[in-house]
Amino acid sequence: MKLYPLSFLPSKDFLEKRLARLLLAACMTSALASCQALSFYTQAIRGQAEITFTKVPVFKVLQSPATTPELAAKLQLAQELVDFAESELALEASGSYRHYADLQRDHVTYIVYAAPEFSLEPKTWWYPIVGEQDYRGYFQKEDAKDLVAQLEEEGFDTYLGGVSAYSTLGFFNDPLLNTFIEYPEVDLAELIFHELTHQRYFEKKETSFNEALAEVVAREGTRRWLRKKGDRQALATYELRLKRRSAIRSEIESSIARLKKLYATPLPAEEMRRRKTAELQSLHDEVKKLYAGWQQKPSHFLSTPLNNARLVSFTTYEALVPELQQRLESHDRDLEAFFQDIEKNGSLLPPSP
Amino acid sequence: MLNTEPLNIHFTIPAKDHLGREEVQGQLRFHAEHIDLHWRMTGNVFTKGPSEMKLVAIPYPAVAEVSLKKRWLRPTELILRLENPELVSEIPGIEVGRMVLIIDAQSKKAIEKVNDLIDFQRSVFLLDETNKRLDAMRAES
Repeated sequence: MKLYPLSFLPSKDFLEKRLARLLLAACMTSALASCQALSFYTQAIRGQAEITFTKVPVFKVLQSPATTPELAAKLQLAQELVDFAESELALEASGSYRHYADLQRDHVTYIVYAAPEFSLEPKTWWYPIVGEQDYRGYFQKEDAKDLVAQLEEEGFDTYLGGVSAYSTLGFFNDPLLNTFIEYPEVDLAELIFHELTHQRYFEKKETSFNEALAEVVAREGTRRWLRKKGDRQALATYELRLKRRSAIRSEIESSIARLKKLYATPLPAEEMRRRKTAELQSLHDEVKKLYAGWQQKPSHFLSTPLNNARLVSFTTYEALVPELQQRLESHDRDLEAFFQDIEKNGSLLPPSP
Repeated sequence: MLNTEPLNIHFTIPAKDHLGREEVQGQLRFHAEHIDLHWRMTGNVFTKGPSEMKLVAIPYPAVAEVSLKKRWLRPTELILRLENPELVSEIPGIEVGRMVLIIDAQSKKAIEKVNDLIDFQRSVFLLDETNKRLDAMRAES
């Protein structure tokens, strides 16, 4: 999952250029924020500062005799992936992923989604610069848990997830993190291409669109990467994985459609609650069945209880993927032309020719 | 007053690639007659450490240009351009005899004296050359 928190401590690399912009943003935040919001921004500043001052240029990590061969190999792979993204995928890293930070924890941030008990409309939060978003991110799990408790008290369904990577949209030079550097090659490629897409294009208040765009570019990029390497076996495995991902998505989308229909009915709360629980249980069983059929270990999706917030988090990332994929096809998979189309039309794309 | 004692300047020439394959570490030692440029590749976990140290002797007259670049919150750069690029052609990161050396923090004080020292040594050399020519002319006449 990806998160775009606001943070106001400058990277040393960007200090001169961006100091004025940062101060302006900080002043705006202080002026607008309530006490609770202020505490949110304080932890965001602290968290981003930790990353900024922990990160070290990749070549420096490679020079250290303490660096293990495994980490060195991953860092080298990551640099090759970033170079590939810049030369072949019409993406620009602008200094991102050229540093490494070991945060000494499993997740860089914790993200909270919320939705009313009988609705799939996500609760949103407003942030300076990036605008309205469907989630709230914290660098400390305890802070995220506090928000979850508060939202549950207000009657919301909630979902708290650990996040391995996030993008500051080019505001800072995002580093490679210990939270994802050990990913298998295909996952690392998808992640880097996904995050760099956000740096190329990001539309305020359009979380679903932004995430779907990043997914489409990441998948295309990963295919091209595997093709360039001539790794047919890995490419076939990747295509199979995408197919399976699509099958799961299809189950979830059907369930979402049924739930939306249910929530639109004037049923009493008790009956609606009963039917909702049954629907979510049925989704859980169907997805489990799919994994069993593939003789594959169930994913993280089944490890947390399903509720509206969990489904909201899923729709955020997947819903517009097919439409954008078709759009890319209409440009003969020319990513530069595809991006130019997106930059011209934004999320209000005309129908594919 | 100009200090003519030998000066040692430690520097780095950053690599062009992000893996730092061709980063160079070195030391400039300013003698009375010439400059010793000691250098080696920094190396990394892939090369199992640094390469062997090499030495290039640069006579003062070979230095065509010297300048210091100081920037806010950034390391100081010493830019040396040599008349004969071949002297340093083996060192990575140098373009046609133009070396941009990132000065290590430990050499911050010493670097202040480099400009004057090189000017002084070049003047001494030019003076010597002029005297030699004058002596030759006197001998002829």
